[in-house]
Amino acid sequence: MGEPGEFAIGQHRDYTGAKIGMWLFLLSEILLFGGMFILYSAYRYQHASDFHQASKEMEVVLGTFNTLLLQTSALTMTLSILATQRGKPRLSVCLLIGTMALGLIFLGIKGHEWLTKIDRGIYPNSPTFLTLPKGEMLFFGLYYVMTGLHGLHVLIGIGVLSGMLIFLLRGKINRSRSIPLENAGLYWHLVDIIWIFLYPLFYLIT
Amino acid sequence: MEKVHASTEDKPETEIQRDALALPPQKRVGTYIAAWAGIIILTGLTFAASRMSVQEGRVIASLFIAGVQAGLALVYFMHLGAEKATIFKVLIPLVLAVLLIFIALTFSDVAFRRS
Repeated sequence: MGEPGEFAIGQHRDYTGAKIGMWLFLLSEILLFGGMFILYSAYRYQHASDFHQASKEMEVVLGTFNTLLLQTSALTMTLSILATQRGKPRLSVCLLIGTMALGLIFLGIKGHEWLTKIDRGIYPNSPTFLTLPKGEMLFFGLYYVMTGLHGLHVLIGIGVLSGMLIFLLRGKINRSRSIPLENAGLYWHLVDIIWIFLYPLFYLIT
Repeated sequence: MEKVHASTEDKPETEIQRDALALPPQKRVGTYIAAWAGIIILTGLTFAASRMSVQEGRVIASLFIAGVQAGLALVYFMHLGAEKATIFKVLIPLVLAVLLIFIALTFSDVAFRRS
């Protein structure tokens, strides 16, 4: 007999179904963020110089560091799945904890950036905010909504990965049943891809 | 066809089951590290491009590089290139086409709006 949850002859496993279900969800997420990117582009087209000015307030070094963190977490996530599939649960657990730690550091830095801006009075409806040109208000409004929603996704991702960690430790995810971890990985990669587009639009296009 | 495993010892016992269940073949660690290195290098390139004095085409260049990075993540990390079911090859382009239609409609509205 194999370990608990190991594949047995006659046991129903629908890999394609599980993956398609996850992809349908991810595609709805792409459309959600896609709508926001369209909004950003339309307002940027209308208020090009204000967007240009407002993006100078961004902390490029922190943004770039955060980008590298998230992209590295994508690698540790993938390697964690591979370790599970190769029957190395301890390595998989370590890599998964590493992924979550990188996500938490990302959120910490993002929180620091938000607080710095809030300290300077740049937040929706603040007295300083209301004196800004319309285009700059739109830029910062979109910044808070888009990076906030992305941050929420990172937080949810860490929650999902925590669940996967428990499953891994209990042996419910193993080399013959790794689909839940693979799907959690897909979600994490989507969060990374969304940031890949947010980074240049908010931090680099000055 | 990509060589998936370096040696027989390296091959997981479940690989035959993966084939039977139409699972995509596993990749090697080196493939993932190469994809990650590519993504990191492209981030450096985007950052460098943003520091150039040339204004024109910078937005397009940044978004093009972001598109390539997303492509690398989709194909290697999310295994889209290795998925065997046809539906994966239909679903993603379909959603991207819908998004493209939204973009075209929104911009035709914004560009031709009076006031």
